[in-house]
Amino acid sequence: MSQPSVSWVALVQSGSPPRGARYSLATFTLDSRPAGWFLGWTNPGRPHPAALRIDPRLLSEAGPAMLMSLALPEANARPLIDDPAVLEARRASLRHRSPAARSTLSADPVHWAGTLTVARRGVPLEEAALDDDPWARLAPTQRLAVGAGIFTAVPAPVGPSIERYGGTHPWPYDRF
Amino acid sequence: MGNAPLRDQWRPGKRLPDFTLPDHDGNLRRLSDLSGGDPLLLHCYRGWWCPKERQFARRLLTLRNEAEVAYTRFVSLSVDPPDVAAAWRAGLDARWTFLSDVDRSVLDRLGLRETADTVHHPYLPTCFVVHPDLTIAARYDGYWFWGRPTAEQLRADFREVTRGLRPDWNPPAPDGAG
Repeated sequence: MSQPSVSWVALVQSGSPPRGARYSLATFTLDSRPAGWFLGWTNPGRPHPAALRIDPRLLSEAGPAMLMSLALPEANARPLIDDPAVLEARRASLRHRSPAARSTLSADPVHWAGTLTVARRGVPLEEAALDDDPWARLAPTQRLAVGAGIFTAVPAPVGPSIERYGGTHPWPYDRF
Repeated sequence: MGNAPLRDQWRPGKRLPDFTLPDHDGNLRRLSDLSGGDPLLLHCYRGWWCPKERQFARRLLTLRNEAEVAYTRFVSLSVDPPDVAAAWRAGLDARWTFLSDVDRSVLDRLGLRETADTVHHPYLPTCFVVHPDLTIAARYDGYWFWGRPTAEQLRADFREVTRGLRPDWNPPAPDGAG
């Protein structure tokens, strides 16, 4: 099956799941309080005002239950994707032992709009990788849990390259 | 030629086998996936215990900061188990992938067993610069330290591979320009 080239995610607060998303899972805090709905789309165009682009390899109906670290700066305080602090977070992502997957999130070609890092529940090394999330130094970060059927593991970037492959692609999508 | 060592067949123009090995996190990785669409340095090394390897690793670290912005990938390969490779990688502050060939299956396939070391049975120190399709662009035999590539030689190799790889090496002319 070919990989969609453009994918989106959003964490929205509502009592019931918004309609129209390909992926829609209830999300919880680590002490089991409802934290909204995590939505995913594979549309070329932005499907929701809160949607942010993500490395399309992370989305999969076949994925297991995950713990997440979601770093999201305020929309009016997003640094440039090539800000030295963002570059250093990319370096740190390569330096550390790997979670199951990670992707920067983007709303436009030039700003960092957040990073989603996921770890498979019950895999101690991956869960431990969330404890020192380098992206948490840049923005408010939530630790959340989500069930199976939205995120999957993606091999770690090879390194040492930390560049994006095109201005609109989230990192570490590793092909032009 | 019939008695030439197996390792001698892996010369520029030949294609490396597309092997699969665990990385420093224990995840299985295929060499062609690691290369992606970029030039790749495959760095076969003896092990963390060898002072020559520690010295050469520092050379790669100096090149890392250029490679990180140049769409160029490094892979280091040894017979160390993933945990040992991960520890050495962390100690070096290396930010690239390390592969573990604990059962020496790829080592023997490449003919790169260092027979002078009967304790570790490590890789012969060898560097390959390869194209994305795993065709070898350059090879350096580092059994003697001076056989290893300098940073400048690797820059020149990466330049040539990238020049052949990127259709916009000469940037497109502005609309209407000749």
